[in-house]
Amino acid sequence: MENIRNFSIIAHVDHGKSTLADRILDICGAITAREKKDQLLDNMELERERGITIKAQTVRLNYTAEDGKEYIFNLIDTPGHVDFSYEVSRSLKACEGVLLLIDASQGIEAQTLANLHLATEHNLTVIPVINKIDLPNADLDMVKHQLEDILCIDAEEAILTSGKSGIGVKDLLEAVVKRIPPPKGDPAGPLKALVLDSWYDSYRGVVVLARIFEGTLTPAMKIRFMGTGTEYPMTQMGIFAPFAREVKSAGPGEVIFLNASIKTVADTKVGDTVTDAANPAPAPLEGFKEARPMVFSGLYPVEGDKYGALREALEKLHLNDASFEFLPETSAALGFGFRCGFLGLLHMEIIQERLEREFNMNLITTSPTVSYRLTVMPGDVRIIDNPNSLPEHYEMIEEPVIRATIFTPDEYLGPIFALIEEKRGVQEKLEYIGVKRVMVVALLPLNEVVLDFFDKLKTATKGYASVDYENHGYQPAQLVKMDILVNGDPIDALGFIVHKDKAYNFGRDIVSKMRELIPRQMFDVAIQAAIGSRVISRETVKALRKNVLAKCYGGDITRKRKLLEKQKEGKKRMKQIGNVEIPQSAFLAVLKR
Amino acid sequence: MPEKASIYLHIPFCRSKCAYCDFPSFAGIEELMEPYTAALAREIDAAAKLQAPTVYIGGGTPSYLPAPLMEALLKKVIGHFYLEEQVEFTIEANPGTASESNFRLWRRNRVNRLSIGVQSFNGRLLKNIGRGHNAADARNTIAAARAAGFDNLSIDLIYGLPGQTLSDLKEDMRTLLGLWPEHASVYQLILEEGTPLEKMVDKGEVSLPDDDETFEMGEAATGALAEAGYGHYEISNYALPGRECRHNTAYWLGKPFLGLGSGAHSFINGRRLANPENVQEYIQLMESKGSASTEIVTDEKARTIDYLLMRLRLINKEISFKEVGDTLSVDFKGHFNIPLTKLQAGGYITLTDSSFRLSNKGIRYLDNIILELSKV
Ligand SMILES: Nc1nc2c(ncn2[C@@H]2O[C@H](COP(=O)(O)OP(=O)(O)OP(=O)(O)O)[C@@H](O)[C@H]2O)c(=O)[nH]1
Ligand code: SF4
Ligand SMILES: [Mg+2]
Repeated sequence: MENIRNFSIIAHVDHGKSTLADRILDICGAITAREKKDQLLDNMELERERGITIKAQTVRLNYTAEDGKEYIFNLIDTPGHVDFSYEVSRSLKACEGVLLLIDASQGIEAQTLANLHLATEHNLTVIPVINKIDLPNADLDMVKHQLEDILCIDAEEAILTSGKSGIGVKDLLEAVVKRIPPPKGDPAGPLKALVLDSWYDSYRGVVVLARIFEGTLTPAMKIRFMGTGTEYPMTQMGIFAPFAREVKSAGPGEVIFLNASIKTVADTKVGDTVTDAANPAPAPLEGFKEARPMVFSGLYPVEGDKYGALREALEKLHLNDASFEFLPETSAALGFGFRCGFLGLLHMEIIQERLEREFNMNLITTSPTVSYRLTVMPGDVRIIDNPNSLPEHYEMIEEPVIRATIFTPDEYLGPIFALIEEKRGVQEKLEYIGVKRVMVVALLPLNEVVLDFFDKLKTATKGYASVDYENHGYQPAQLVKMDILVNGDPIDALGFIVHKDKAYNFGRDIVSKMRELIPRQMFDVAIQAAIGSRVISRETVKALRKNVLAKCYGGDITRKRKLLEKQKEGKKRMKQIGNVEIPQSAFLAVLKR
Repeated sequence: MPEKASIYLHIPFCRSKCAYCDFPSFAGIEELMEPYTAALAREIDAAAKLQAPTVYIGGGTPSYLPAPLMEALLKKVIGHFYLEEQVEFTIEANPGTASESNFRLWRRNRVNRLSIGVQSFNGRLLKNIGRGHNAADARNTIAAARAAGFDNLSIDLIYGLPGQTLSDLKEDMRTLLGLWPEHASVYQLILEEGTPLEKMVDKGEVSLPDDDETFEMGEAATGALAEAGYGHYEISNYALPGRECRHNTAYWLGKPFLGLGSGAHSFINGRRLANPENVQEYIQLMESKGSASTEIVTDEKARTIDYLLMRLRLINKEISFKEVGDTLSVDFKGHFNIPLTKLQAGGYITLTDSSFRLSNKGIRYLDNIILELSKV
């Protein structure tokens, strides 16, 4: 146990965590030349394609230090994107220390700070690492100053590395050995292991990843999940090094995977405590704060008969990503579908993309919304995450607010202030960090953020600003429900909740977008935006007067048939609403308003 | 008894390429005219000696073919196939590419009908679409055809041209009617992908009349022709009584036809065949293999849709379920019951126990109707 070191690599997005992990794997001889590839731990297709880490990955390594002793490292590579920060906090539970990476050319950014806060909350040893020092625009002085000024970390402690070239990585590992304390715990005590993750693997079945805090786990045991009370005989246990390898026993401080005759992932709960059924621990470990969905949207199959397939796909995905929620819902316009909750917009995008790619689903996604707190009457308070569940009468509606921390070069302060104002935000704090960099803290309504805040911020700052955010409760707001009607019928799927002052412009934009996107039909189609019975915008798609029919030359019917196929393809992406056909792009336009 | 089928011959040469055209036709390859007609002769020789109720030489611009080559081709056709006594034998001619003496030569070789690609009598509009002739050429060519003794003429017009107004179209219709053709084809311009016209429109160099105005043009054309006694027998075709084009009607009725030349299609014994559109490829295949066609394999469903695509264009003839049953060997009424009932309810067709036909509304929405039927 003395020679175990458990640590996570944490940082802002793209500061080089996964690449540094590659080098550490190299030095520890974990992979052969043949198995080697960049960001090896990013093994999901989407992770590789987008070059980001979505899921935290644990790997066990053997390291021979300069003192001649052999150490066991359990390294966790974590995602940097704010949507997945719950993955970071989960990972930290399994660790005694962290490597806090800072890109030498970028300096401290929003998630650097947020992730450092998580690490200190968990009382972990922090090793500051200034990474990517090989970059020509690396600015070590700037980063060192920031370390001291913003993070209150002694710059002397920082280790300089390049995950790309490997400089400094050996020093870093020596620092891990020296600075991060070994885990504690009694190998002879009753078993206590924290479930870090669980997923379904097609040949191993349900896999549970756990960190042992007390006692010793062996494959002969019958284990009990203390939260659910269920018991299973163990079948196998092992480590990821980084490929799965069986082991025969494991004690405190070790991170292992186990297989037991567990039927579905749903039977295991991340944050639960595993104990020995024959010699149970008196009390479980403290679990995790559950990751709460922040963004909601309806997912509908374009073809109505794919509802069953969508359900199956969601269930399967959910097995490996318990952080999104889904509940069946029905829309008069779109038929049967699901209301889904996501951790953020990127998370939503990723789930959608996986459904489309891995499960071949053709989806219509309704506008992302947030959950509102509604006081219908004193004593009757509800949370609603679907604009259509807003009753006609209520006492008060409150919207969720976030506290956003924005790091930016000071030249973009003007546009940022304008954006915060446009988004109904309130600035809380402004602080210079170093010469030209500023940290702005602001409270912003989440529904404004969900719309297009990140895109706009990116445009306003040419991509130089970074944001992190956390929940900041609810606040009352002047919100109204806007309906979009087609030929007099409200399209439930297009209804949304919006601030009163923005309703008019939104309504007008959507209606005119829809008018462009709804193809002419065999009759006039009226599109309206209305608040209650008040129509605030109206446009008409004039009836198509006739089809254009080509000359049919020389008996060549193949052209005609190709045209027909093309038209049929086009139809497939249409939703029939009443007798109006609405292309998916019209829904998307509203989604992206 | 020889088998019966209409004959189509494709002449892929044009004097210049029109801006809107995506047919398999080419300008600037005149040097291929001789080897091409030789290859065509070879394909004729290799064909079955069919009994031909109609022959149609289309293009491209057949009238652009030099007289000696055309003469040899005509002689080959007459010599090889059994042309029926009452054969309808059409050649497509573009204004300014054939003279009265050409026409006389053709007439001596059993050609009895001309289809003249006028497109418009308005010089400005012709320029906009890059036609290689003017309004005077059109009148002269028609006069020459009459002088040569042709008593069965068709004139092609296009509406919805860049820069065209409703009154331009009406003017074109007046001119057309003043020339008393026996037949008229009036097409709506389609902006085809990849054509120079598409680029011109994208760049804003020319602009097309809007949908509503174009629609009015179509209505005005049909109205003027109806008033002058022309029956609207096919989506884009109008004829004085008895002068409907028999060749094209054969396509629309799903009758067999043999297509020869580059890009030509055949429908023989229920099989569809196609020749390559590339002229050189066609010539090479004919020279090396003595045949250029490949089969377009279709299934039952595609055959049914193909049939409907063609047959529904013939708007003056109700479609009897017996006729469809005989041609396709399917229980049409049973198979298409749901869409037929739906279309009837929408007022697109009138449906009886034994037949259906397009309503006036249905004629305007033929694509939608076919789409509906093809869902089955
Ligand atoms: N020049 C240089 N580039 C690096 C270095 N480390 C990483 N990169 C590049 O930086 C980008 C991001 O690297 P990753 O290792 O995927 O970063 P990450 O922190 O794991 O990113 P997320 O998991 O998405 O938060 C990639 O293009 C890497 O090639 C380094 O030391 N030097
Ligand atoms: S003359 Fe006819 S075939 Fe030739 S380019 Fe013009 S439109 Fe096309
Ligand atoms: Mg990564």
